[in-house]
Amino acid sequence: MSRATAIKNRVDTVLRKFTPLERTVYKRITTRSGGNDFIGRPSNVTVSDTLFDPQPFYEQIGRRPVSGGRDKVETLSTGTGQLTTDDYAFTFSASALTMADIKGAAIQLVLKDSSGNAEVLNIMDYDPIAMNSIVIALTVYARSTNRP
Amino acid sequence: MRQARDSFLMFLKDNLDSSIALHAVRFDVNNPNAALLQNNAVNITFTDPVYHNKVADQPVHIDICHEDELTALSWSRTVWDLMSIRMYTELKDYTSPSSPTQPGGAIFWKDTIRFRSVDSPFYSHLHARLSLYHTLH
Repeated sequence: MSRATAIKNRVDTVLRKFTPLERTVYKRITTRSGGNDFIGRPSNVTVSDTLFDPQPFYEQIGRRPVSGGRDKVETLSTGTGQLTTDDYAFTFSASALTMADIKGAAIQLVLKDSSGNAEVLNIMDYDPIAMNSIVIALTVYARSTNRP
Repeated sequence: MRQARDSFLMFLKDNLDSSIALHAVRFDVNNPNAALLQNNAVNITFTDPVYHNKVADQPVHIDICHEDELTALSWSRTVWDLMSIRMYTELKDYTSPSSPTQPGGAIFWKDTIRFRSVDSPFYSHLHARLSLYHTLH
């Protein structure tokens, strides 16, 4: 086993120890078929949510360090005083999320809590962490679709 | 208003050469890329609808983005050649996309399309704005 693969497996083990967080993360693939999707009239739209395994670690980027730890900032205040959700930074196992997944046009991330509430996120940017040409982890930045 | 949008999109799709990629820009929460301009394509974006009891107005933006400026220019001429044949097209209802119906009337536009260059270091971008006039059904 190469060293990079061993490190990748170690990343998976660590992620399993620290996750899941308050909400579990799913990969959403939306497929459209039939009808005329070009004008926005597909006859069949299917949404498929697949649980990530291992679950990623994530936090909102706006969290700032304060004395004794970090202060969690869940919202940002815009110039007009409107509160909006902050962006998320995810750390994914390269086994759970691949580069091919990220580059797929239809992929979204979904956070679900135990009550079934869901928040859909669009991937804004990603940063693969690689060693010896093997991706061992992925940092993904995502923005909520609730954000104006 | 939806009929005007669908009719104009299908008018372009059915009559432009297949080598010209056509992209309908539209916000869709389940399709993040649909709201983005696509490079090497003719992008169609519908904006602020104006409702009127006689003639409604659906503004549309045509954004031609291409890595090669001369191809973008050529495509702008192709779009003009198509739209200047008659300055109108039939209004159709695409509720059932495979069998559109004609509620009557047409969508029409004026006889001038002014393209403006949008500066970008990454690609050539020509932008035009025009109104699609039609009666509401």
